Amino acid sequence: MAEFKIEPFPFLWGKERYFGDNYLEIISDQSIVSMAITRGDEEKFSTQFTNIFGNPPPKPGKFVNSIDNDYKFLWMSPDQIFALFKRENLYPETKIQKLMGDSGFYTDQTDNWCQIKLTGPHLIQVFERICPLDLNRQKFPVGNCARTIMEHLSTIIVHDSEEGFLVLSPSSSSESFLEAIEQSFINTGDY
Amino acid sequence: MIIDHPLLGPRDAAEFVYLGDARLINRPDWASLDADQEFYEYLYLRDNPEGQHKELWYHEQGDRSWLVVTRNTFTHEIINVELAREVAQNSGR
Amino acid sequence: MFSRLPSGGLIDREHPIEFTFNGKKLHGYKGDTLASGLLANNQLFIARSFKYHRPRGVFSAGSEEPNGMVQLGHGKFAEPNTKATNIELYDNLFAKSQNYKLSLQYDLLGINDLLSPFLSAGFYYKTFMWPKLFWEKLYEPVIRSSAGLGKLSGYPDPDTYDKGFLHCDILVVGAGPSGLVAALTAGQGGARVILADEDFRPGGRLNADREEINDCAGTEWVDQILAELETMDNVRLMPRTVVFGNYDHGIFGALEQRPEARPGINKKPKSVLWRIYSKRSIICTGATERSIGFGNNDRPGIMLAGAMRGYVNRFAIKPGENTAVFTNNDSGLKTANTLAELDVAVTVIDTREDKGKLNTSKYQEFITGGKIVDVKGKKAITSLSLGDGRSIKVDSLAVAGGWNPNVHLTCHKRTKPVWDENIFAFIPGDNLTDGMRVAGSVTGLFDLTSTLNDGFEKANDTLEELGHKPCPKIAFKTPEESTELTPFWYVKEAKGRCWIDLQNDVTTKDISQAYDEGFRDVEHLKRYTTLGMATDQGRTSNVTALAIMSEYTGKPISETGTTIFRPPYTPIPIGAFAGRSRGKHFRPTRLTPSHHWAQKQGAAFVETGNWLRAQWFPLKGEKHWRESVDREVLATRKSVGVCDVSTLGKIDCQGKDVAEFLNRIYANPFLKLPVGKVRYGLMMREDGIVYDDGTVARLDETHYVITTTTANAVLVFRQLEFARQCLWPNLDVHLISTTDGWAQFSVAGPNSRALLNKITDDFDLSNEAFPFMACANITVCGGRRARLFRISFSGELAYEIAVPSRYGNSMMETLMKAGEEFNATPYGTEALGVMRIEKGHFAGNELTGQTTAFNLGLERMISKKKDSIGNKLSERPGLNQSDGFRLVGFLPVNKEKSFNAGSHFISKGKDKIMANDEGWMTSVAYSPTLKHTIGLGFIKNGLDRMGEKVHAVDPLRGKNTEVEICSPHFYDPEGSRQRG
Repeated sequence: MAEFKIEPFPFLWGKERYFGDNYLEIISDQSIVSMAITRGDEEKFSTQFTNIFGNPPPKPGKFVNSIDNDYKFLWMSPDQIFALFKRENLYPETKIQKLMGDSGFYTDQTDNWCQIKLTGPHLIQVFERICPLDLNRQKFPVGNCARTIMEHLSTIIVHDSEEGFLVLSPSSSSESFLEAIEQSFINTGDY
Repeated sequence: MIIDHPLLGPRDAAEFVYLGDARLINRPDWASLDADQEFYEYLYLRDNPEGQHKELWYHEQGDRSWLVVTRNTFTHEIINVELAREVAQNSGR
Repeated sequence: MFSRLPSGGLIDREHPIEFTFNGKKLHGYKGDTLASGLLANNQLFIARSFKYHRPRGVFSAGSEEPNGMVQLGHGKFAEPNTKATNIELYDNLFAKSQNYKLSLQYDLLGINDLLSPFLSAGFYYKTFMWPKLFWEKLYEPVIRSSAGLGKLSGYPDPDTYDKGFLHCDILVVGAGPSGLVAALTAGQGGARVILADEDFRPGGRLNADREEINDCAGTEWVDQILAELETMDNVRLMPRTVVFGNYDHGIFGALEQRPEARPGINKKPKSVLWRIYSKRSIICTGATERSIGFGNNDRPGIMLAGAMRGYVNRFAIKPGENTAVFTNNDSGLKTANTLAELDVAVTVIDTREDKGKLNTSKYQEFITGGKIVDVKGKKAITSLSLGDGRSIKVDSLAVAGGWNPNVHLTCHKRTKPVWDENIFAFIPGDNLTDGMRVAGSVTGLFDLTSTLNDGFEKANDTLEELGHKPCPKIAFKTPEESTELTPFWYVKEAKGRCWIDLQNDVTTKDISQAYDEGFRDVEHLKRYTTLGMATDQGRTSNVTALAIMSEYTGKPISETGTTIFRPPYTPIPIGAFAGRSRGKHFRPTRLTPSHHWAQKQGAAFVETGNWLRAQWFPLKGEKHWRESVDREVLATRKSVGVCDVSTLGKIDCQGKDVAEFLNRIYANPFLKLPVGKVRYGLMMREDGIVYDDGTVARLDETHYVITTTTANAVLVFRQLEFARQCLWPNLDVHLISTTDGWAQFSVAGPNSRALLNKITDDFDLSNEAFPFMACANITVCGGRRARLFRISFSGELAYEIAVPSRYGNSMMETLMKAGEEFNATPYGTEALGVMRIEKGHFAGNELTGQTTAFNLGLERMISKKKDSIGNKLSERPGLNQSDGFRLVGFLPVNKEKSFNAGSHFISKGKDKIMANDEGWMTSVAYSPTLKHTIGLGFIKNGLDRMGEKVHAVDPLRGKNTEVEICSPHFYDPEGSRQRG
């Protein structure tokens, strides 16, 4: 048994803060697993998925929650879904793999991304400064998610509640990403 | 420009990367008797017309789909957008 | 003398504003522009002209202003060439005149005006031809210091700028009468609407004119519409926003000035550059008035008639006691009416012979068929002379030459404007693209009723097109209005120069000279005379110049057309385009997982792409980077070194067909790579040129992890997706980047095994159990997830160990702690580079985009038993000539000497000229292991020239070193250390 220890240092640790009535929260207890659908097994995957999680897999541009709300599934590409769920250990893909069996391939993506949850009344104005997508409530209602580019950085934006967005961006550039969001708050209000 | 993604709807061209003539899908058979000539033509004799053209675009800052975009290179009008994977499969690849 | 009227206007007299112009404290009101503030203080002469340094004053009331340009702010905040007519007056505004020497009043360069016979069109081309040397030493510096507009501050721009994205169904550009109605209608119809206007007060001509709509004053009607628009959630009203460009598919560029920004006081962005995505657009940009050419028509106090009307009505300014209007159309008479209602003597000089039923009793005099031939008064107009020899004393003069529709946005996608014989101006062509419509005076409709109706109808048409229900007809009641015009461009009998383009000092004489010398095409006319260039782009002058040229050529204007309109409509600061992307924020920064640890060690960092990597780790007392790098290399080779290599691209490949897929991607075979093994892979482009290299680790039956070079990670991923989706769409292969997910460390050196043994959990690291090129999923430090690869870039016994990246910083600390007994040493990218050169590994320096496997000596790696990308075209004879470039090593014949990368090889005894070039040095390092400089390079037929001595010539740095050709593997060529 090794006598040495290694400890996690979560991305953007301690950077939560309020901007007026808006809250910027750093999520570090959520695992992300990519689910790739085996070619030819699309139907099997879909059936299996629906049986286990109680809802069919997400459609393009959308996310779905499992019926027990323990999992959130984001549509990523025609043969790929991201599963987001409470972090338990360092092998989150094994958990999904056990549930889903061999109709897909699973990769841990947790540490590829920083996760920021934004809530508040002022978010549309903030995103107007960095996000090329139309986040209008009719155009991007709750249930939508998209991958796009903000301030040169790949970003996944998830409209997961009436007053909230979850945004994911690569972990190595997370500090630049956070600065981009903070700057947008500063540029659009007196915080 | 705006590309009307067949799955995701209109998205800014800034999310995409451009490659060129969609005939790059039709990669020759390496075992063909005339493979040298075919590969030469495949790689170097690509079209770049003024007017309607089929082009490959990659949704790099999106869903990572390669698309075949039929576009008028003079007016920039986009006539049709298809998933390249389906185009490839339909062409027998 | 100009003064402020005691009442009236759209200014807020409750809010006086103090501002400074040319050192003088002046007073204005909220709602003023700088121009109106200056006029109210009788500041007529405010600028010197571009070329002749003529005194100039405010000429217009909008962004078309050719004259009234000032420097705004001071010190590092100074902004040159801002238009006084566009600046919304604010407290403590500081502005001054520009383009003079000594003082505005006594400008030494006013002499240029006297030299004008020598400075006419094309004078650069003719005058400064010879002698050649004079151009650089004399002419250019003199011209540069005397011509031109304002000066940059010379400091980095301290202001901040932002950008953003907006989406709408209908973009309405311009909030004049037609734009307001269009936006209201579109909003009521349920569309998402953006209404943008460059002015801080929407209303357009209704702010400047005294109109009535539905029995209420025009300005009140504007307020009502604005109030209604503000109640609509689906309408965004954007004053201070100039829409400057129309791009593909309904995208517009717009710049919004943010009034809350106060340079030097707060850090709020001065402007926001918006990209507006619209499904449809309605262009309601109105029209700009043009002048008439007559002698000395550029004197301060002379301005466009519509502008003067605006200064009276909107800004409550009285333009002196005696004033005159020179007009060829009915709109000029409107100004005359406005002026006549003040206590002012108005003389009207109408170029038309027939005054019709007009009541002229309120004017001092009404002259029909009149012409102004000259103007007196250098720094402000004092009198004007008529064709009949009479002279009339005036304090100001309004000129009305007709209106030019602002067609710019309709032309940016190359729709050509067309000549309208009714208004003698260009209107938008009818083949507009991307759902664009035009409404109001931009279409050539100049009477208010038609304008309002047009705005309504175009909005309704657009609504219908978008599937909304059209709105019920609104009726507009406005007084009858006549807009009759008889073209009159310039006074041929003028005494003195007739100025056409006031900003570029172009006169009728310059145009006739351009004609005489053959520069008759509109584009030639522009380049030759500079007419229509610079910040106003000839908005008050272009059409007049075309008309004059058309008189000379005898060709109708409809045939000559206009110069091409390109964005931007008004000047947009470069800073606005840069937005936040400046300095540190030019690009995002990617940090390695051990970045914070490295920072604490005082590492020197280097930018590699977006990554910031530790370059070396200086110890106390080390003064030169070489000391640190040499120590890091020697410590690694002697015991153990640790380097963060997380920046290498990592792509997770899973699926039933990954082996087949990789076999087609890489030049070398991959079908039989066993689980638990790593293989080196060489990737080519389809043209047979080497693209990238890396390792492929098979972790599981269907699970592979491939690495790419740091620089090519994105490109390789793109290429693999192309292959997967377009070339072999039926293979079951799934790709996902895990570059950011894993912190990966190279642990290299004879003690690397012993070090890793201390942190791995019961894992057999012996050579037998885990040989060179083995890989495994393992755990470290008591059950923490990790991956271990036995690969070596340094040539030593080495491993790469990966942990989830949030553990990376701690992993680095732990490796150093566990390695204390071995004197474990962190090393940076420099030491990494030195060791790879000692080992003879190629890297980015060698992959030039022209490098083949043959050049690298790897031609035998390309499997001929299979297809792979680039396989076929790599066989081209030209890429495989026996005397082609080969990668070899170079060492100095005199070991004390050094050489540089980039040196070219010349055989001994040959002249050092390009014709004798035989190759070049790609990578050079001082090898602390061998204690002399070593290099890698390409030289013709290199493999057969071992031991030959050649010159490494570096003419750029004046260096020439005799070097010996040797094997590129300087260190442990048998590779026994890495296998040990």
